[in-house]
Amino acid sequence: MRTATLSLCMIAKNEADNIGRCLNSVKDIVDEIILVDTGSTDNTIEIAKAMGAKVIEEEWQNDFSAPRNTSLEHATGDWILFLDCDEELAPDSAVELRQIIDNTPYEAFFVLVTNKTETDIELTFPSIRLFRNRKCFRFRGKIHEQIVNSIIENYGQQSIGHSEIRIIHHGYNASTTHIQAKVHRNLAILEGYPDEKRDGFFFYNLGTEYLRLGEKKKALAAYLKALKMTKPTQSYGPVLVKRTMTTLMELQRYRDAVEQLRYYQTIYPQFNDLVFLEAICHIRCGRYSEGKSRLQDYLAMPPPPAWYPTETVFQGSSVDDFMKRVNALSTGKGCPDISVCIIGKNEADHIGSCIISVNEIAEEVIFVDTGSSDKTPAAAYQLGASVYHMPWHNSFSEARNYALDKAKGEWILVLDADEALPDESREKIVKLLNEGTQKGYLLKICTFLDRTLSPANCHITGQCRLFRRENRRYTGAVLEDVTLSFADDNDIAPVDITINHLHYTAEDKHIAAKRCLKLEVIRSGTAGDPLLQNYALGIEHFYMQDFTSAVKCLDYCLERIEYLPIAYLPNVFFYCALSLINNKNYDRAAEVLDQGISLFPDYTDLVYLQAITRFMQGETGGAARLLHQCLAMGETPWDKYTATPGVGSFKAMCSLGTVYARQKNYDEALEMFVQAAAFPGAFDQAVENIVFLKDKLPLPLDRFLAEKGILNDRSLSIASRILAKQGRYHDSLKYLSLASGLMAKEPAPRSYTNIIQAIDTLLGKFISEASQNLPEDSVFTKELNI
Amino acid sequence: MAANKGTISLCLIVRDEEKNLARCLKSALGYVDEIIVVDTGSRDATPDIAKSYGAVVVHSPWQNDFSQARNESIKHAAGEWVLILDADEELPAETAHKLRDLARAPGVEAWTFTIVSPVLSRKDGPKTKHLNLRMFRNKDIYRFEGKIHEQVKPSILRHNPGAVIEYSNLAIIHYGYVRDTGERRAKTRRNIAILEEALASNPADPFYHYNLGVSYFTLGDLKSSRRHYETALQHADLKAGFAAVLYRNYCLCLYELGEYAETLATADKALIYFADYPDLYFIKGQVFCDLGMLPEAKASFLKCTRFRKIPPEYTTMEGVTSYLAFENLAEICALEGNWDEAVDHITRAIEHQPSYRLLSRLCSLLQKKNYQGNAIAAYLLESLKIKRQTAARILFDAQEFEACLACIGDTPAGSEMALLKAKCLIRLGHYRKAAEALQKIHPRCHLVVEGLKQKSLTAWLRNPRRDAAMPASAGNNPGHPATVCCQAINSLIGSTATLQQQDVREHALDIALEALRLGDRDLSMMISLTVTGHKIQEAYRTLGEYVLQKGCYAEAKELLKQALNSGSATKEIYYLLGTACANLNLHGKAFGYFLEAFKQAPENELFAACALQSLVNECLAFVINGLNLEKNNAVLRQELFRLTSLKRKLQYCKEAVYSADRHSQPLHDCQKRGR
Repeated sequence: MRTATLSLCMIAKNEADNIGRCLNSVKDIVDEIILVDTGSTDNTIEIAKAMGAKVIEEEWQNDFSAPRNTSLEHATGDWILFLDCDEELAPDSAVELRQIIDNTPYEAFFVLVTNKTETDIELTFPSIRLFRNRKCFRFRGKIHEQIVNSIIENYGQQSIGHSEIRIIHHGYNASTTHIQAKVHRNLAILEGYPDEKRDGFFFYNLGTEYLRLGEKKKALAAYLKALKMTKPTQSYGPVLVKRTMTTLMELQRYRDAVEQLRYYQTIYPQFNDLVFLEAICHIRCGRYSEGKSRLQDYLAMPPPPAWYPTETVFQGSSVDDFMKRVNALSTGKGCPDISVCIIGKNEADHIGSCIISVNEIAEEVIFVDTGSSDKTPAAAYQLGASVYHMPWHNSFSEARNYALDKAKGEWILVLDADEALPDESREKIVKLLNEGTQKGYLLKICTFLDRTLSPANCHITGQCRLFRRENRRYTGAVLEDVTLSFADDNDIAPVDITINHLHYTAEDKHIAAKRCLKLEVIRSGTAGDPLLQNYALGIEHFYMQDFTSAVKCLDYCLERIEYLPIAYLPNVFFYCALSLINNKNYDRAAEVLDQGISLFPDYTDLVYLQAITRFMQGETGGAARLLHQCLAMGETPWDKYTATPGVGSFKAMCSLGTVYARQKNYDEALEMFVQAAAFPGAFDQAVENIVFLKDKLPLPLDRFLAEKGILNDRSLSIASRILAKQGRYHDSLKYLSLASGLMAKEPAPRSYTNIIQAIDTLLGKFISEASQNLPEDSVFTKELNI
Repeated sequence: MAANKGTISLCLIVRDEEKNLARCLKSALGYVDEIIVVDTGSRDATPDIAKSYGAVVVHSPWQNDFSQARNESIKHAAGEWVLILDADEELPAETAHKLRDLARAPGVEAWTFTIVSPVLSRKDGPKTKHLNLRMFRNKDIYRFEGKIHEQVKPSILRHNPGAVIEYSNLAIIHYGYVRDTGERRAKTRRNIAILEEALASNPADPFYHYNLGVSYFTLGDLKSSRRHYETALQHADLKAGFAAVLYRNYCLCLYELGEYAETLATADKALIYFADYPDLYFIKGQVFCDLGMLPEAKASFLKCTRFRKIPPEYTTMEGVTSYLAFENLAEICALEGNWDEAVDHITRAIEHQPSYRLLSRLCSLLQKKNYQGNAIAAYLLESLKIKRQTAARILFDAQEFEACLACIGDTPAGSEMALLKAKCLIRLGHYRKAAEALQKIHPRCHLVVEGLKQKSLTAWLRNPRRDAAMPASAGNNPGHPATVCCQAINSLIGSTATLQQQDVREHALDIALEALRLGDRDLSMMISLTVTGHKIQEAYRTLGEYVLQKGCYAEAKELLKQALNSGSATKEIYYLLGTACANLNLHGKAFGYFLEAFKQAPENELFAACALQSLVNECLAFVINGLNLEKNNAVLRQELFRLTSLKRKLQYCKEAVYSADRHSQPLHDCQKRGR
């Protein structure tokens, strides 16, 4: 039997980077190559000719079908194969391709086009690329041109066969610029489409182009239109559904995505990626157990038919990665029935991490929105919370109780929108409620004082946040309290479970706005109770770093100690002393602290602050004695007082070291700093202090650090940074070099943050030293934007 | 206007162009039918020169409006076609010859030309090219518009929307961009004044802002340039003719400012719309090179070489798709130690532009490939068909003296080859033969001075030193400083007299350098001592500085360290030592010296900048080491960009200090930018 001949038809413009690869992949199996060039300015044509192509030059007319059809006009083979320049025939498909055209009754074939990306195979979908050379088979559509309709019209759907021939598409692997150029060109064509030609396929393509540009909302709108106009049986249906879902997910509309995914799982029951995507939605929302069970469903499904777009990697994470994650984070169900109650207003910075942190253990999440103007309620909804709106009446209790009213769970966990549970707290809560016997629990609220979230810079307070529902009510417009609704204080037990308060991680302007609002709420909520008002305002002013106002308010309370509820008293001493110290009013601080210590002798923070006061007053002996006392007392009991971690340990050690150094007792000082360095929260400060004493060391600094077991890139970078600040450039460079050398021995990925901080300090110090001596209009000063 | 078919009127507007005008008119004479020169107030011989070429000279007072003047010139034109030139332009012969053909082409309303602008006055220097409409049918309705950067195209298209405007594929040479002329700066300042005035009535006009960007860039005021480009980009339509060039120039400006991340981002953005613009890839290549990101740089330059043609409407730097790209590729391969590929690329570059610089580079690369002198000579002469004399010069510079001699042959062609032969022989220790070769220098050739120095050396370098038997004069130059110098040195060998005259001193140091190169340190120090009044420290310092200026950094460093040890440590010596070390890439040492200089004179901006630059280089080394271990560490990558930008800004700072105070510039710069 005579062998059928095969023509490769292509169109190209400036494809010099790609065309060689494409032609090489087919040069042994095609009988001729027809290339229509639409105006290349690179050497595409030369390469094609060198590889035996017949090249036709045609002016580009914003219409992909025109040059494609020109190429068909010139083809003489029995069959046509068409490829884009950024595609190639998979090596193992050549034989099949030749065989298939030699003995087949079909008019055309679907082949599988696989998109290759840097990480892994992303997407495979079927496309007609192989068909008989007939005059009646021509491309249609100015863009995303298709031949399929002309084949169906002439020979019917059944004339098209399926094949396992694979084509690999490299287009999305190219440089971003190259893609963007193509996208803009494509969009220009699509936007010129007349309305009557705008079908489901059109909107699908439009959405895809928008997606490539990162315009997710526009993409979603186009996809949703496309879904309405597309029948499930249409060949691009599965791809469209999948892209719509991933776009919803990109827009963090997880609730909508889950709803839609469940629907389409009934339409395409074999399409396992839809289950995978649902699992990812749950995981993103913090519902790890649910995610895990869907992942297991996914893994149990048989492989889908070849024409479903499949992927094994989602945004760089494989199924295994997801599995590892959920295994680490899922607490397993069998968890008590918890309703999480959250109130908040304009908390878009925080609400996501808050809800995600509790979804795993919450039976339900109630979010009461007290009048947000931002995306807070929408975000809460998409993460699965039941969202309620209530007008704000300047009463925290009212809002909290509103949330309690909506809750149905056996247990209540109360959070603020700017709080979140750390991972380990979830496990602890489940265990506690399964085993504990109390009606309520005091949890550790850890307020971080800066963005570093350093355990060395936070305040811890105990609050009753977890309790049996049992119609508990909050009282108090501000400083709202639920404990008053417990008959017996012994019903509430402290537990070592932390809630992180992330207030200071928001943008500065948001923080300021929130604090102002809070002041207003306090003023109106405590109208008629000046004592309570001054107490609440005093603390608020302290956190706003308005120490003078804080002292004024808290002094008001101190003058009326006997009228103040005993529970507030320790805080008055603590915040008042802190504010006074910040204002450098040490004499008064000492007085306040003496009084406080006599009333609350187990409050380590007060002793610590007293030591600081003594030190600032020059009484190093007294300071040392007090600091030793702190070490003997241990940390402040957080269930009784506002506590600063470290005052009974590393903070006291560092301060003691500083006191010894002042007394020129360097050996003792160094010993203290070395001890403090063993605490993660105090490492930097301790090392800094050791570097300050560099010249007093018995050994060179690096050897000293090595001897004490604290020689690493971090301590060396700190050394470099401190020495740079002192203008000791050569020393600074030396330690930088040592740090960099040590770092090189670490396994990847390495964290260079410390080294870079040292570099920047070093350069910054020299720049500022130099510019001090130079006039403001010197080139040096101007060029370096000082 | 009832003009004769195919006649051409050349129209110019001029003021004080006596230096340029003749070149321009001469190039067009005989190819146009009349010349109209509108003079807007020359105070020099411009009108007379114009008349001497038969031009009709019209005096028209300058009204701060280029279009007004241009239109005045067209008004007097009688030809069927108008050709517009500026006085600082010239028609290449090919263009002049083909003007008539253009004028006879049916259906064409106007012609565009490629304006080729050399950027430096040297012949093989870089050239930019851009497109401009310069010839159009002489009709009353076609008039120039815009007070500056006046254009006639809008008026043509408005009156005749279907007008055919064709690209002539011909060049006009424009000398106005030659950067190293003060004249250019004056013109730029004048243009800025006009543009600012025009902007007052139309503050958002992107075209004015674009041109202001160009003008400030020419003046070196990069910050103003950037500001105007950014405003232009805000208002420009991507379809505007100058949009692509605007992006390119903005990228260039950002690059020169050291804003690497932004340069890349802007170039990528521009490539979305102008993917066929090779200059954008070229700029990216340069950025990656500066950042030491060699694979990325290589990909960018390779991309440049794949372009077959550049759309004529894009302003482009000549060579970006050929010799400039290949040269950069060669340098990248050299940095990677891939000598084979480097040689291939530099050879491709030479095929496009056989400049001396590229040939020298080829030679040094071949040496890296362990080519022997004769093999290099064969490559130059046979594969590349380089002239023997050029090959000889290159071989000498590469210290391939035997091969150089072979290339010159037994009978050197001309004085220069004779001198070169002698220099080779001296280096090979054949002093007598060298002296013979020196006899072949023609006594009236200027090289006779150099010959004299070399001849003296042949005597002085011997052991024991000999009397050079000084002639009374060098060639036709009795009393020439070189002669005086040689005589003086000769008579003073071993004595303690001094040479104080400045011009003599220069020659003496030159001889001292030559002696140093030839390995006779004693002789060179002896000479240096004679010019410095026998003060040891001064002698080391003077010689060290001179040697440093000539690029012999290792020798300079040793001499300057001697200077430091033989007297008080002055800031000048520290600075010079720092410069020598920086050029030897010993940045830690360089920083130490610069820091000492800076401590002595904290008010000295140059010392501060140099010290900081060394410090940055030292820190960069840590970052680069890290990146070598972990290519994709985002934190390091960001720091790489930051520090490299800082380095570039400091370079600017140094250059600005130099140019502000040229006289005090003690040295040529330590780190020249670019390759």
